[in-house]
Amino acid sequence: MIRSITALFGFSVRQTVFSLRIWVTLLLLAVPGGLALLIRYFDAARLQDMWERYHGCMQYLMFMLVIPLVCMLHGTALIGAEAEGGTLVYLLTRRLRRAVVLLVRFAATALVLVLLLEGATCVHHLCAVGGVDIESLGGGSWRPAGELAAYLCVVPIGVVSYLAVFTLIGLATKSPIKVSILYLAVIDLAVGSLPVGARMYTISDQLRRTMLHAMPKLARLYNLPGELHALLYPPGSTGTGALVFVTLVALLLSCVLITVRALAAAEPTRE
Amino acid sequence: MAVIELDGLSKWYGEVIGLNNVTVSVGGGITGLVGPNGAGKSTLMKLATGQLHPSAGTIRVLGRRVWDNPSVLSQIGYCPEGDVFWPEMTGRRFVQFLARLSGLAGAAARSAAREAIEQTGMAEHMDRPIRGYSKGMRQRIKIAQALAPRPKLLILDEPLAGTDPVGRHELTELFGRLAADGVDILISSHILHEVEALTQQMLMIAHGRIVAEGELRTVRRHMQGRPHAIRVVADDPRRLAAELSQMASVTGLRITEPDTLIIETTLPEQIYDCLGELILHDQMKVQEIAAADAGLEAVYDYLTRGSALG
Repeated sequence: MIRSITALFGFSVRQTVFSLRIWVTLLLLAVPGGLALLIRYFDAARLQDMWERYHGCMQYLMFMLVIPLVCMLHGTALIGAEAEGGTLVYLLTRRLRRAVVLLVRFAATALVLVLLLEGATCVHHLCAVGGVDIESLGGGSWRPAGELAAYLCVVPIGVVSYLAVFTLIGLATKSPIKVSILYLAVIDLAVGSLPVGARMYTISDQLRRTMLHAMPKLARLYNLPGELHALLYPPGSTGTGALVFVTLVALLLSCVLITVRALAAAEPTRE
Repeated sequence: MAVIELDGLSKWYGEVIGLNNVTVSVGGGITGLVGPNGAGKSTLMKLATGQLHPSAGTIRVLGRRVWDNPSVLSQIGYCPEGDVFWPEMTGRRFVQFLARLSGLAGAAARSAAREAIEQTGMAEHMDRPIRGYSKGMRQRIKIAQALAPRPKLLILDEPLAGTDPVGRHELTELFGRLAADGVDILISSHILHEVEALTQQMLMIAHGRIVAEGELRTVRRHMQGRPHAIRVVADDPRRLAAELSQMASVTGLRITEPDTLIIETTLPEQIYDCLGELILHDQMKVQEIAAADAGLEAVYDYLTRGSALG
């Protein structure tokens, strides 16, 4: 079984790296770094602006758009692309349980995406603050390197959570891309940004909670009234547990779905 | 011992019937599953390889349930009907990867893949991407991936479709050798004569029901005297027509296109034998041989009515 798992893992990694989707992924990954370079080139910012732009780009662009979109692209195709192309039959008629096939492909895709997104985070960091002498600008306590480390810890959690949810959507629905876009727009972005308690049921808010836990100064960026902020993000609370829970539930449901559902293309030709 | 056992097996796709209350046992050796397009052959094979759930009844393969059961699936080699591949892969990588997925270690997978590729006559083309393969080559490489893990049971869905007469002959011989080595084979086709070259043991399926099973002799009695049309695509259909016109069982010959000859006959098996001789000994270049009319369909309908009546 280990041999089969190793073979499938390697194959899935190669498939993710060499698929056509990777070009769209690379394009999306280049956006934060590219934008940071452009801003830096055209606008010699003050330190305060630089701080806001650095974190704004990570919070609103990387975590709310780039990570979800990249995960949507790959998560919905994790099993769906093979089922659509008919090649899933080769994976499901071998010596691996269906749930194992799903989990191995998930792990392989997650690994590639985490590495790519960590890379994009580092590139953004270099483009935004690389070579800038923060001290000479009166940076005080701002330590961009430390904050980069915090982001690098949160990125994998975000990738795995979003990927699990989009994998589930890919298995459970007939139009996964449409449903995923709807999920992102209505639930994750809209509800996740509302100044109400319901936002805590979204991945984006739990990621924000996790980042606030690591970097309390980010509260300045969210610009919420003090009381509301304290209500929505009680001191010391982190979203890590909730994100792990979401990931496990989504993966469990995906395993159940792939185990009970026939995914072979059935082509009845007569009544 | 029965290799595949179906007990009251039904499969519906919404209101469409794929299989209708089928109870049958498939024994060892080679068994032909014959029926017209849409009869339920692929549905039966998908059920036997755990790709579909039965709507009712049970199916056991090698004595055990097959759905999500790796211990059974690892003993089955399956060649799907569809033209499905990772087209950017070379033939060698494709067979090797699937052999490794079946549990063979690196070196063992490489040698098993190589052997299977050689058996199917694809050694010369194995390092080319599959996207550049002809239909016949794709069929062969699909068969190779089914053979590579050295399964106990081969389930082959229309494996001869798209192959040329020489390829068909080679593959038929290969299946015979595998069966002689103890591999059980269930092979489907919509052309009775294709399967006849392999085995006398038949399951005939029509409208989701098994309409005849057992020795081909039994089935053949129903076919005697029925008119059949055979379509042959050849370089020189006129020469072919001249050769065939001397046969008493040929009731009509028509050249419908510059390279296409339609042969009407009451004894199709005689024509298939004769075509084989012409190809092998007279160097006649033939690209395709196929049943051209609903002759077989008519037999299936006849058998279906027969089974319904009694």
